[in-house]
Amino acid sequence: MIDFEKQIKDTRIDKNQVVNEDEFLYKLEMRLQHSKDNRRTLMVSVMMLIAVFTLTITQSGAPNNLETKYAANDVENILETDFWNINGDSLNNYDSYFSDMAFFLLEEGYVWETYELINEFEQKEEI
Amino acid sequence: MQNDQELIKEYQNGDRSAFDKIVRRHLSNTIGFFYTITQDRMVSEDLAQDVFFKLFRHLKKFRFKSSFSTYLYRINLNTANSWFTRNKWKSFLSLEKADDKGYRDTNVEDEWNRKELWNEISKLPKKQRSVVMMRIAEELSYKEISKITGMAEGSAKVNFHHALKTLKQRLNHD
Repeated sequence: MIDFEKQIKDTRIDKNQVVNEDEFLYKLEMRLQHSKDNRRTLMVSVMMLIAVFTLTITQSGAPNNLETKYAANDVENILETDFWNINGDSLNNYDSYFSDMAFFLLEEGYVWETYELINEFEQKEEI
Repeated sequence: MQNDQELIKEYQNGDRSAFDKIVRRHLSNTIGFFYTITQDRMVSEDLAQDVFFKLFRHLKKFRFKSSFSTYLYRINLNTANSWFTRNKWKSFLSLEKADDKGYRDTNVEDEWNRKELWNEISKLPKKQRSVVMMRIAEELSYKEISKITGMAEGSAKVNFHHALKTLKQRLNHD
């Protein structure tokens, strides 16, 4: 066994290798720099993912329903171009709508239609 | 001339040039270690790059509980073991393994024996392989090997003995 150990040790290569130290150090520096850049890119990517995830969970930036409603009302109030918006809520104009329509139909000679409209109005009021 | 410990302390205090000095001091030996194992200049330089890359990242946490040479041998050993693992399948399929019984001159035969030997060493269990690497490539004593590998001195001896037995059988040196 000792002979075999000696035999194995004899296969050793001369360990004193001539090395260009400057070139080696330059390569090492490049590698370290590359690793640093990779780590920075990874950090930024992770931070962006966290930001997107957080915004998704909190739904920050998504339209708020209440605000939208108020904003729509504000716009209506500012513009006041639609007939239902002239005197506020369109429900308040329900009576005047029926009476205007009834007069219009009478003037046009649609008697039965006027009658049906008035009936419909009465039924709705009962409800 | 500053010793390793002083250079490490300087590096830990932020002096980058101290690290370069450490590299210059241990480069030849490190590449020599890997060259013995791989018989390939380029591969041994790449593995040495791996070693000093790891060293750069971890040396700031070095607490001087062991000597620096033991610490560096441990990195060398781990890097070599990783290389053996990475090349496991590659060495199975490698043409270098082809058993050519034809004529060869003495130098080529030496080369062939060396490659065959390290090919067989790569197949040994990790503990045995580690001891063989330290014993053959670095000529370290069992005491030093036990410090590097963390196994008992007796265990290192037993592992080396088993490794030699296996290698002898496999290389038909009975």
